[in-house]
Amino acid sequence: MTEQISKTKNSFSFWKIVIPYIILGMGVVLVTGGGSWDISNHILNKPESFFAEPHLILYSGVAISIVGFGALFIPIRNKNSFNLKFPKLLSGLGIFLLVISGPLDFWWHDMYGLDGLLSPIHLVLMTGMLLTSIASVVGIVRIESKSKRKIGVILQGLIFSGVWFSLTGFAHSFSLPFSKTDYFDFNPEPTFAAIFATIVYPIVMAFILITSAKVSPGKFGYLSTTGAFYILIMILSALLPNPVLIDAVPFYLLNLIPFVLADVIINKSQIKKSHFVAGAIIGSSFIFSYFPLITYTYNEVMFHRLVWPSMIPMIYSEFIVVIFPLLVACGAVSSIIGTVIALRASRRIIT
Amino acid sequence: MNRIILASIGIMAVYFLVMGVVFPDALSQTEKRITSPFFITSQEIESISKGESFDFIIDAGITGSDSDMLILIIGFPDAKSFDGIKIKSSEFTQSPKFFEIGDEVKTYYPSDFKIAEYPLLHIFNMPNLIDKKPILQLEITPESLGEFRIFTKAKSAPFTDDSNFPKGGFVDEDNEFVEKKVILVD
Repeated sequence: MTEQISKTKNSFSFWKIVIPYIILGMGVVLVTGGGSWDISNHILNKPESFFAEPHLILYSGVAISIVGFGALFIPIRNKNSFNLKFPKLLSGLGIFLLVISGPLDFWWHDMYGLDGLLSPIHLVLMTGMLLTSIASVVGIVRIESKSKRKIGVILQGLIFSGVWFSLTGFAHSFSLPFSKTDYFDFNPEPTFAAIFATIVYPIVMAFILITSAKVSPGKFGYLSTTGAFYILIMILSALLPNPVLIDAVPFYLLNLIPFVLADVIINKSQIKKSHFVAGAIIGSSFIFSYFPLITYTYNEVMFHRLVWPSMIPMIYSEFIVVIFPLLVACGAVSSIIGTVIALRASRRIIT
Repeated sequence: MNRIILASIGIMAVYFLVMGVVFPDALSQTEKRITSPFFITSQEIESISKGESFDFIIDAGITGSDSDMLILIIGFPDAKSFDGIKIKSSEFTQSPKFFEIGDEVKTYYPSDFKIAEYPLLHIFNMPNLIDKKPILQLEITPESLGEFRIFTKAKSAPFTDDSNFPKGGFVDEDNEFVEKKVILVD
């Protein structure tokens, strides 16, 4: 009976300490999902307004993250034993950057009109998103590892997808030709952009997914769920808004296959270097996972055509059959870097 | 070799076959949008006195299928600026662009830039669905006596040989057909 009461008390305390970090991370998921939808709307040239749906999702994400950050300071017994100083500091910096990027973005629009994807203010926003999402992951993992409890596969997958989209935001900024405005031309040089995309996207994928598996060792499903959330958010924010891409959804769902396989290899195969094999499988699929936006990157260097939204399927189909074997190989090789970073980072997160 | 690894190799081979060959093939079957723009212009009067205004109305649309973009390009070769030209009403969704003399102007097709020789108004719908027929109403007050010319042309995207309107008539400085309307100011 006493043991039962103690267990219930521990459970209550665990959730009280971990929930603010979950809220923090969920806010970032909304910010990044709204951001991804906003990119799609820009591609579709939909009229821009302060109260456009993607913007509302983005603002509500920031508000939710601020609530989560505030809740980190609620006094709870035994909280100091979880080594949470670093994630708290990181989230403070992240939230600060998220909050100041709002008025700074407004000022930038006032000075220079519409901005592109890569702009100093957007980098501030993306840094804020990244720091906040990393803080959320570090906080959750440290609480889990000390208390020997888990928040569950769904919540962890969702929170990790926030980090994934935050890093992807940076990768998009330096590889997509969406940054030329009336005042500035921040578009990346096409050859640089294509090489950058080929190296960095697989690194990001391997880093996120291998970390998600590594912080929950021996537990199947954590990696797959993170991948599933990425696919779900991409379908909702990048495929469904463009009518010509709706037919691509069933194919896009197949991108879950490499994620599930990687999960099986890490958690069920018992082979040596399983994380590197899994990383290679994940990285080799980047060219399909980053559809449709990656069309713009490789079009710039291969065809240099004007990509209208209705032409994405056609242009993607033209280059993919030619270069996909090469990109699959490059993705598998680049993923080694992502896997190394993931293995080191996950050790640092847990301790 | 570990059975899981063997199975993984087989599954990934099928995955790459589907995503690298079948998927692009399915995407290539996506019907290409072939659209053609059109417009009808109307003005109430043929001549006005100096200082008076007149309305210039353009009914635009597209044929074929939904279009990624419908753009009306309206030039005023006898105006020095947009001082006497106002948008009275517009059903176009994007913000209009006003190019004064000397401004850099996007030419759209072929995708390039040029310097505006006279005031140019670009007004867009992105996208423009097949059943959307936007109307633009301008209020114009010519500043000087004589002829006041208005050049109008339309383009739709994706661009094909059929993406320009009108198909004949007066040719502008871009070597493209425009509809020329003239009002006499006396």
